[in-house]
Amino acid sequence: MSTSPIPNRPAILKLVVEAKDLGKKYGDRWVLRNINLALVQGDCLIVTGRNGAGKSTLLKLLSGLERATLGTIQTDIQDYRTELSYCALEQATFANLTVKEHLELSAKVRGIQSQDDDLIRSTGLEEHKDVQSQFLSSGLRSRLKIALAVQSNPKILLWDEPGVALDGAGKTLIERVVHEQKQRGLLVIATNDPDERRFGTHELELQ
Amino acid sequence: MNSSFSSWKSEIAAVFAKEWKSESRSLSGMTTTALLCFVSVIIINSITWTTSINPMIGAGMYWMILVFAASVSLPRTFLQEEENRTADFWRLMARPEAIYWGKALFNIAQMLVATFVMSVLFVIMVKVHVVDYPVFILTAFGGAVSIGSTVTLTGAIASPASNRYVLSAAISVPLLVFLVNLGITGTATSFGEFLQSGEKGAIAMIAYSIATCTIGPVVYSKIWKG
Repeated sequence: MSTSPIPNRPAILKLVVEAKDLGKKYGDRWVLRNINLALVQGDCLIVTGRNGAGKSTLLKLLSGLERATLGTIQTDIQDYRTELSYCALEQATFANLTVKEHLELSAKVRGIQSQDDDLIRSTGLEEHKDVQSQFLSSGLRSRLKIALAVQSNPKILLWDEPGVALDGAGKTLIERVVHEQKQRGLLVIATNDPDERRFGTHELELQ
Repeated sequence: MNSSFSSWKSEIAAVFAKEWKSESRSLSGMTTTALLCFVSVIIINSITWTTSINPMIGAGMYWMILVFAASVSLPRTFLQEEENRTADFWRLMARPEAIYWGKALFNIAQMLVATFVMSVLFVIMVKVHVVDYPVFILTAFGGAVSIGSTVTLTGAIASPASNRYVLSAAISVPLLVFLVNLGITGTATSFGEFLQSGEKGAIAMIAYSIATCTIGPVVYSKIWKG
């Protein structure tokens, strides 16, 4: 159940995320145990493993949405609203809000200036910007979640099963987002898709 | 200082605007509140058609309708976020205090509208005579604000729990019973019952709402990530 893919990084590299002896228990069952991570700018950690191995749980712990039962997580971010993004299939959008309204709301509560039109164009949502999210297909909703995740140019991007529900153009979008994110920070991607695994600089297989 | 204040203002306004847009498109909360108020007043009107109502009983009915209408619709602003799995959107992108204030202000505004409509219906359709309008208005205003802020607080506290609707109702009871007592005193005075503490009840409710609005964001910020 324990894996430590990147044990010791050279001291010259500034750590962005460091997790030590991370463990998570639901009831009596340990989902994760003894996870150690040390990630720096430019890293793309691919987390793989069978269903129920704890891939999504690890991402939730790193995002702060869930608390670890054991261990510690340290990041060098100052403001979680703008420097950390988490994008997952299970995340829901507001059914009654349009694509544009989602981006406006997100920019205002995060306290950032956003080039919403450019973001809408680059994620292929131009024709759907005034459509309420309840009327979007699951693929378009995934694109909206990607737009929300990259809107603040985060330092850390946590991405759970990126390719699910996306078409060919969507896969190209993933590739571009991964490339841009490696330039400005780091990524942690939970996936078993071989196409997505090739983006990784490191891999962590959960047993 | 100014930029920090304007940043808070913009964040709170964004949460308020989101609630307003969602509500104006679904009308779920307002419809529930309006129907509950309307049906209750019609029922009271039909059963008291031939008799005049004692001011104390009239005030009790008035506050019962308001409290039930609020308990059914207002906690939804927080509880629905968990049900619809949109709570993580807020947890990742917003400050808890901004979320709390935006939602509390929306609930208070919704409660003020509901109280206004219900009060007009009640005075017209139920056989009570308002002898002191300033006390009646002050009590109704204080009641709307304090019920709105209290139910927001209980919704926020209960939202992370698995049986959140039951918990929210259970927490609301002791807090609202106290408020209803104050409200009945003020409203009964305005209906002609001779009670010395009528105005004091209204003022106490406003003080209560200030207290819940002050502690609400603090409590929510401690529990919002579980």
